[in-house]
Amino acid sequence: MFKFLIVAALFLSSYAYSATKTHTIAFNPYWLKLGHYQPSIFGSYESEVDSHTFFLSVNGKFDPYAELLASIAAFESENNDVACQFPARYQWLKKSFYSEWPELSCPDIEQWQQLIDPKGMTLVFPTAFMNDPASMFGHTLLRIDSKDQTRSRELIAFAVNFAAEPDATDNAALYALKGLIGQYPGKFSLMPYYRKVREYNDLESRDMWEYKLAFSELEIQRILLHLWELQWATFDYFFIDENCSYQLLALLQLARDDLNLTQGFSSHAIPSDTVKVLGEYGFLSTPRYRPASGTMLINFESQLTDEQIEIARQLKDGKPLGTFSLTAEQAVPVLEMAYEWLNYQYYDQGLAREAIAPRLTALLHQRSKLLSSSTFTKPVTPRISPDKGHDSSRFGMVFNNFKDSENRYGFNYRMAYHDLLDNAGGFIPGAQINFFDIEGDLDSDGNAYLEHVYLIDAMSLAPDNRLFDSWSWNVRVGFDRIPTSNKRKGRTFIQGGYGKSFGDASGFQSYFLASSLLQAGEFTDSASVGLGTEFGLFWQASDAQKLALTAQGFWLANDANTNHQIEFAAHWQVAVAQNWGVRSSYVFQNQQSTEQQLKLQLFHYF
Amino acid sequence: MKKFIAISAFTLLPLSNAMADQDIGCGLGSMLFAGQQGKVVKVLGATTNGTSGNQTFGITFGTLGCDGTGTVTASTKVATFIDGNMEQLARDMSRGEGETLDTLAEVWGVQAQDKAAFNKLVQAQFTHVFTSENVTSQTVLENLNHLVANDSQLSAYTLS
Repeated sequence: MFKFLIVAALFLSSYAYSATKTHTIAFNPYWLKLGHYQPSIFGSYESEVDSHTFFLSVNGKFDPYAELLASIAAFESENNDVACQFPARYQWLKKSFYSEWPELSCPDIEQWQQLIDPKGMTLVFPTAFMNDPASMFGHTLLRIDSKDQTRSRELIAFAVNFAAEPDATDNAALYALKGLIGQYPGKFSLMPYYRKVREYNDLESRDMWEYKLAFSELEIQRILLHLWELQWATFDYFFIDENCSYQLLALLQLARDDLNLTQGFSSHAIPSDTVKVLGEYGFLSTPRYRPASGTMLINFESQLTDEQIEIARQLKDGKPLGTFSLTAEQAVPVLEMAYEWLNYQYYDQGLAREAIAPRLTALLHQRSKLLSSSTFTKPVTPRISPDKGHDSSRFGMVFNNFKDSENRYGFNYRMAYHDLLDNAGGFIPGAQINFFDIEGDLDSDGNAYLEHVYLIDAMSLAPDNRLFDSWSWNVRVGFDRIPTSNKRKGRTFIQGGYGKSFGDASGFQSYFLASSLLQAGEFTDSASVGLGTEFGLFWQASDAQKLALTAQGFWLANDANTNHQIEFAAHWQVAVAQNWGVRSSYVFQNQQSTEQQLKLQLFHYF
Repeated sequence: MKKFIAISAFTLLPLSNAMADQDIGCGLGSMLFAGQQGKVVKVLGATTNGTSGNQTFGITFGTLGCDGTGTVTASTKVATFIDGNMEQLARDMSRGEGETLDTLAEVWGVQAQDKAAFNKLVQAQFTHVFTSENVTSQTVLENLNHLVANDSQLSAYTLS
């Protein structure tokens, strides 16, 4: 009897031990990372993976413990198919807790690893399109650099990409909407790197930045083993948060047991911010720069005289080279320019292939007859790479001084991303996009005011050059205050303009827009419609200083109290550090009455 | 997307027989030479970073052959690379220099000491490689292989 009790006690305690053991493993951070589990507000877990095929337990999406037990059971069975499906899980469990398990033997994985032959890993960040602020969010992908990779083999390295798999029958609007609300499945894929270079650099004209990541070979192997598992995973692709950049961090953090890169990205993940996170952990080195087709084109343009541009224009439009009496040395740059120019237009404007392709081919045929090398120099790398730009969220302390009412003190907050007065280093010149910008303040009596809420405030200033006519535009939607005879009253409005800009965003730039306005609020009896103009002058005085003068005037069609609305403003922002800035502004407004305002803001970007 | 396989004088080369039934490059393709237009792709790319075209990529893409089994042969690698880089190759070849042309020489297996000759050859014979705007990548490969085969310095690199 006594013996039996001892045996029973031993049995129970070993059972209890193994239950405790598995329970500990199930909530080990690495196991949670392997399953892409995130804690929910009720203390339970949910995986960001949405496909059943990624889980061995029926309830695996919501239960890391059940998933662990199912995995262990499958790994301990005779057949190693499941282990070869989830090699990262197997290897980690074996290394940390189950050293008695046999070595993993999976010919498919071995062949795959052999072909990829990984030595290093590079984070690739294509920046925004020119003249398209919405693409400021960018994209990120990884390149796996193989052991025998030289610079000239870089194009055939493998790229790891996370992207939505859209329904090809959806139209563009539906596509954008479904992308925003997570209706398309996101998946990881592997493809030749040139594929992405062609897509971003050449077709979409986005500059690319390549950051070599400081992972060891062993760490890269761990990342790749998990990538293999992600063949069975699909994620709902959300444009704002669970996007490419977030998912790449979730993959990269498998490199080390204690690495947690995704924390802090609960609400939104902007690619440039995810790049910065890797920088904070010390994974980034000085990036390489791959200029986009548009950047190359503008750079070539800057190296030609007006006369050469004119010849290139005529060659581009189909005039044969023989009509100009040029030496071979003179013909090379104009022929190359004509080709680049026409090729860019072909993609940018979606021109008809039947008309353009023969002309492009003819330009190349003529070029091939000239044996001189190209005389164009390459674009210089921008001095400030995207990871050195300011962070995308902004918090401000504000002092508002009004000529005709009391001083107010308050705060403002902007969720994202960049405006034309913010420090421009690392951003696309002349492009602004602000999402959700709110300001509130108090007067000395303790009365609180909502000064403004801008849901979106975007502007794109693309100046004309010798090659293109470009249009500039802006749009702003939200709530703010305007002066009336007795106090500043609120209005809700939408305003947009379209026009031209001149100059250089890195020096002096001016713009002139024709604008329209729709507004409603407590200052007026009914919604009013306005037509008017906006103009402005921006001056990048130094790397750290930006000045602006802006003006807008509207004629109001159906406002009972006044027929016009005028605003002049002057701004000066000094960047005191990468993530700190001071902005002083003077604003003159005239609607039903006149108000003058001085505004001082201290910004912190985070 | 099955590519139209051009029937040309070069189809007598062993290479083209070996590849006649293959869909070069697993359905990747050139936008210009394949005759698609770009604007739609650009609009769509902006929100979800989806891949353009209709092919799908998996984790094993390019490592196990186009249909996901077997291995990738040397000539398939060259063919795939040409197919995915038609325009950039055309541009580089017309100038006798450039990253894409350098990479082609690497993929082709051309040794460092022969690269200058390779670049010179493709520029001089450019009109015989990219014969027209309707040339297929298959034909470009065959034309290149024909040039290499008939060049005294480079004939050792002939693909078969």
